[in-house]
Amino acid sequence: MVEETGTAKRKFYIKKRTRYIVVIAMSKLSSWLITIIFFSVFANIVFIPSVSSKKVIGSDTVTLYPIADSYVNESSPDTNYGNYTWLGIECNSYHRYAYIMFDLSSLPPDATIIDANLWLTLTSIGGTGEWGVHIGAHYCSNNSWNETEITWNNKPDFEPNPTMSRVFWIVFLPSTDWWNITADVQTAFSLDKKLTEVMMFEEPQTYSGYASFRSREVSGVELEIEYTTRPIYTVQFESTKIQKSPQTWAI
Amino acid sequence: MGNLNFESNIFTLPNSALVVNGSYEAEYEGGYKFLQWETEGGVSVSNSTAQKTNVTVTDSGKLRAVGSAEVMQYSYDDSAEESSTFQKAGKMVAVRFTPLFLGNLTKARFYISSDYNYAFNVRVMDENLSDIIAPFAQTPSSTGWFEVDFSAYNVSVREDFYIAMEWLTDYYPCLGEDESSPDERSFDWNGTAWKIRSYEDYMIRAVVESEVPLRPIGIISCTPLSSYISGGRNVTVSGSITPLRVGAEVDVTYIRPGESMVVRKTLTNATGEYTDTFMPDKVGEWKVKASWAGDEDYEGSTSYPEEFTVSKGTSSIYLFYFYPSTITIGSSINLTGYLLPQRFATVNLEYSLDEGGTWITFASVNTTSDGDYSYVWTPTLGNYKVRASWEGDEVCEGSTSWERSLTVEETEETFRIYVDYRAFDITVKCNSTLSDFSFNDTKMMISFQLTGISETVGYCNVSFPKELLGGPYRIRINDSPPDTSSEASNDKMCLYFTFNFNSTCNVEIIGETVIPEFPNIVLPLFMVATLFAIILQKMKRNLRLLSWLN
Repeated sequence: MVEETGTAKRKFYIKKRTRYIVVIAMSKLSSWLITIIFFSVFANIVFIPSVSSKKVIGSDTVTLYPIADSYVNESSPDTNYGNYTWLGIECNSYHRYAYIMFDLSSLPPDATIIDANLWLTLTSIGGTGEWGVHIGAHYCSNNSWNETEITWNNKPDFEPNPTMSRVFWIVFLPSTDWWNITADVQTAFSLDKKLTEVMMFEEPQTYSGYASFRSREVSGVELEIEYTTRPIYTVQFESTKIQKSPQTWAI
Repeated sequence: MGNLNFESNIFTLPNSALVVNGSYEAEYEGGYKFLQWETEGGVSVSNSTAQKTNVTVTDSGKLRAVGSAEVMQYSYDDSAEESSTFQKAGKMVAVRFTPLFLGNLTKARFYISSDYNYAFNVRVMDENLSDIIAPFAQTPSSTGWFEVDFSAYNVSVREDFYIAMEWLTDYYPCLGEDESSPDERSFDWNGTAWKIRSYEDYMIRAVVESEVPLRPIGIISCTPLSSYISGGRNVTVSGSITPLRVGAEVDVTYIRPGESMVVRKTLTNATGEYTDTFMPDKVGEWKVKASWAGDEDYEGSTSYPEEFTVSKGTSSIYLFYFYPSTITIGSSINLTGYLLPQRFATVNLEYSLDEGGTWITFASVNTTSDGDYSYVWTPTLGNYKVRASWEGDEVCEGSTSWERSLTVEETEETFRIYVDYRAFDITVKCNSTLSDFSFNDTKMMISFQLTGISETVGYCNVSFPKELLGGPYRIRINDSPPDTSSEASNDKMCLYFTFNFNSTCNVEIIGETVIPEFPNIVLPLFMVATLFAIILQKMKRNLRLLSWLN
């Protein structure tokens, strides 16, 4: 298409996954406006997209998919949701937590974990947080749970403090977001090479929130790990002018 | 200076990175004219004189690109083309360059994205976007960087300059755009005006060769802290000289909307920075730029003019409360207040005697540079509302203060006169200042002085016991009779008279009788005693006659 005035453009590619999400959202303008109004009223919009990139030049990247995921529900403490296509979390008069397990054994045994991001796709979200709602990823060292058996009553304990928490304020759904859980992956990789992350709301008692993510049953969960098996060095990059005479200058 | 493309990661130099042991492709881009690579530590290159080479990292270390500073390629793109632009014939796009040293523009480079086999006009313009050389057509022979030679034109550059691409054929060829980290140096010409492009850098570069003797330019920056200034408020601009120059004299030039200028001088501080604060005196689009003359080591330079807008601002004028708010006629009151924004201005002082229905300007005073004003006022009798106002000026709207109340009351004084241990009160009411009161029994005269405002009507009401001063009365004001009326009760006399003030008036009230020196009580007592003596005498004579008869 050629425009008569101004700069017409030909886009060659879309570089980033988050940009794709925004493009999709913008194509649905009406649902966008409804979403903004809805979430403005209920104080929960969101999503400031961020993209991870390689932290170390020459490193390798692998994407792992969960071997088990489910959520547990305090209001139905003996129900198992392992085969559901979504992972629900809730902070209310009762709570829901999502459990996700990865197998890290496919990584080379001498790998150094540089960076690890857990990617989840949000399909619904709401809440009454004053400045948005916070969703945190918590490390769980107990990997003995089973996708088809885990319930509120038999769920393993997890770290009370999140490894990373993200605030959601204005979000265009569906939204794919990430949590940096490098420390958890490094810990799990040094132990039994199984990693369990628990997703939950970090809201205080006076607030409430609910959200659901796509589960592994619909390929909604990924763990992206940057690693290397080789040594890592720091390289300084500089430029300088050739020294010709005392009158030359340094810029 | 320049960028390093290291395994498709662009680094602005200097920089550092974490790198896994291995071999990588590296290329030096922009900045100096590349000469060779230098390495330290566990870093090595396969070809030290190749601008694009393989780098092997076996430990921490340094990779250094060495270049010649005598030839500088200026680029604001990072070499990575992310989109392209193509315009109708006659339209153009440009990039603004800021030279780091005095030199000759020898080349321009255009990144042709596609459709290369079409001619376009090359234009070189000065900081005001006026052509430095006549536009000339060039036809790229391939996609990628297309070089245009200016060496025959002898174009010397010191201030900012522009290189533009003007389309000769609708939409062909296409020019590359870099969308990452735009520098706001790219512009569009839509046929009538230039407009900045904030979201991409056009991929146009300039190569400048230094002149001899070689002396780099100390680049000066200049930025207003706010782009929008309300009239009457100060604009503060700040900037610095790079490399740091301490105590350097900087001329800050403010260009008014009508193109007239104000030049102010300031100095750089210990950190090489300067600030200047100035109050614009005109509404509209202003520009500000800074320049310095240079020193032994560095050429002087002038910054790119930055714009700011001055809109007409609001003002507030204040009139302080009166204390006391009630005064006696003839007293003066000091009216004080101030105007914000602080400025020289003429303030009108107004009063109303009908609760704000009609306002009368009674004085106009000038403010000081701090906006303060004061005025000593001697009002006549009445209940006043007073306010201050000013009409505004070129950059500030006028304003009116809150109203303040003031009551001016008449003078009323009572003087007590003692005559032979008896007290007599004389009361004087008037609309002026009363002084020098006296009672002269010899002259049978009450006199006093009234001071009022010239050419106003004065009045006076004097009441006293008739016993003290009996009538008929003659009243003289400065030896002339006033309009008089009187009212008398059994023992009191009230005289009311009006007159025209002639600043000071001497009032004399002259009676026909005055209280006698013999007190009134003495005569009756004397008569009673005489009568009593006569009676006693008669009684004695009667007693003697009676005893003789017996």
